[in-house]
Amino acid sequence: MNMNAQNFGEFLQHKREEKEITLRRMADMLSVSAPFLSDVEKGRRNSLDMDKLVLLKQILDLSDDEHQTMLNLAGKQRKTVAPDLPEYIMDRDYVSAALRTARDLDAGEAEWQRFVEELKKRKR
Amino acid sequence: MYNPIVRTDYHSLPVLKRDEIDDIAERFLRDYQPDVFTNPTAIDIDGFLEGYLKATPDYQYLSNNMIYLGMTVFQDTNSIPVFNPYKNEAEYFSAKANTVIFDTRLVEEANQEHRYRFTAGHECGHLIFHRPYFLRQHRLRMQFGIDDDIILQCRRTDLPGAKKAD
Repeated sequence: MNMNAQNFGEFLQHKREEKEITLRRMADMLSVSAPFLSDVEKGRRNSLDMDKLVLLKQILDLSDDEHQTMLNLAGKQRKTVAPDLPEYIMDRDYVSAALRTARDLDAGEAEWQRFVEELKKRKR
Repeated sequence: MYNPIVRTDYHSLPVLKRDEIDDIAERFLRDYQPDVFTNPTAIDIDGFLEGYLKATPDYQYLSNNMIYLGMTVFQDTNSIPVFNPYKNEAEYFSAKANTVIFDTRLVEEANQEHRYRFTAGHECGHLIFHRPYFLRQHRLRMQFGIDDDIILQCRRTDLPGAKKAD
């Protein structure tokens, strides 16, 4: 399945079925009702809150890439940034300033990628 | 997956004796959950519906008074009549082919698990036996310009232990 083409609900349903977890069982594990989870999977409700997304990562045994995809899709469904980011950005004004600079200078993916690689090198 | 060969009438409806239905049900169970024959336990009816028959469950208020407990959708549709309890009115709902819609109250109200499980098994029966009949009906009706929905609503009076229709 093409991860880029999915929405949050489709992603969740696909991963759940891959793990052979029924909808009612998953709802039970997330402490939500089956109708609620069904609405989320079919895009009739907003994606899940951050605490449920953390739980989902464990239940579905998501890789780091899949986890990031899930968070990005969850954010897109709510028409906002991924739900793990707002707190990080709000607590650091310099991140907001950096994002604005990048936006104003029309920084592209390649420039961001170089920046990220640079950060990763420093961590090694 | 076990695929029963059954006699059908000219409408594509299966013609089966009760014993034959029991035999088919047992063969499905031997294929899906054979350990229950040696170690009796509850049948995983959700797993059978979703994992084995590849159907998608969904939940709606199918009526204002629970007269319908389940519904099987054989073809994509956007005009399933459901009840909106917040507006106290009927409205249309969309579903894809191979969806089984349960009345929400079966999974949200207390002491309804037995009814939920029976309804799930009942709808599985429709998925197994009645798809050719409904698709044929749809084709025939389309020839006369009638493009209505291929859904099957199951009244609670279709299910055991039910009172006669109100």
